[in-house]
Amino acid sequence: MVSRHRVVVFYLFAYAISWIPGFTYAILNAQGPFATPLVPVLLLLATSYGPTLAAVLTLALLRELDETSRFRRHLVTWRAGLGWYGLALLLPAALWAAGALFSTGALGGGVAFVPAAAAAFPALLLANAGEEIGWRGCARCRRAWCSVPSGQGSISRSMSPSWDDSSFWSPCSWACL
Amino acid sequence: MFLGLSVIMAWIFLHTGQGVLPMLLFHSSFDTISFVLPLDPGAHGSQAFAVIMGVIVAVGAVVLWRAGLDLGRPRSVAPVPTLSLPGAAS
Repeated sequence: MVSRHRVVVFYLFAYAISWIPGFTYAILNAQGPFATPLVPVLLLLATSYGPTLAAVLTLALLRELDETSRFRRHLVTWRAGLGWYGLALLLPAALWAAGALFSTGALGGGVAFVPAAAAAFPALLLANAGEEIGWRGCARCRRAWCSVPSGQGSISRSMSPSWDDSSFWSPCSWACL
Repeated sequence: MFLGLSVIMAWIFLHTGQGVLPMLLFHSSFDTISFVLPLDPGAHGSQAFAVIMGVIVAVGAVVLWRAGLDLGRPRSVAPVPTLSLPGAAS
């Protein structure tokens, strides 16, 4: 059953695991300030690592060596040109900054400047690792998400780089951004 | 905006051996810049967000246009096995 509905199982796990601490954070946050700053940090980390836990759970239930090794390969693959790493690091900042600068120039405001917030980068790396390991690492086991029979027209099918990578076009993949 | 980001991220992902690390850097960089240059609440912030969204979608469209629907996915070519038949002259 898990093997046939692996995508559904993965997403159910991912959202269930992420939403429980997420809603807990929202409820506690609405009630007032936290007793210790550790509580919101732990809750938000637990929220971020939901997809990773879901991937591990799904793979444990599947017990398919092929899937497990592919998941591991996604994690340890790091050999790429430095230029690509530079692009991955700088392009999002450049796009946002370009839009912000254009907006400030053309519209006369709308964006503030908080340079000290750059110090949050290491913490964001740690938090986002939970999402990326889950969503990207488990790309294959959720490939069926956008899979449609060959020949049928579908935006997701026609735009997907391949069957294996079609998950990048799923709304859930966008949501992790 | 998410579609534009998805195109750009998939393009980078496919050209970096499908590793998680470049995606982690991309994701964290995007989050960090949104804290460094936060949008003001109100109408000006909404307009700024629309402009940023437009920039991202435009770049995503350019990537799609330049790289094609497969996003320039590097093709892995399997080596052709060489057959050595018994008795064949080499």
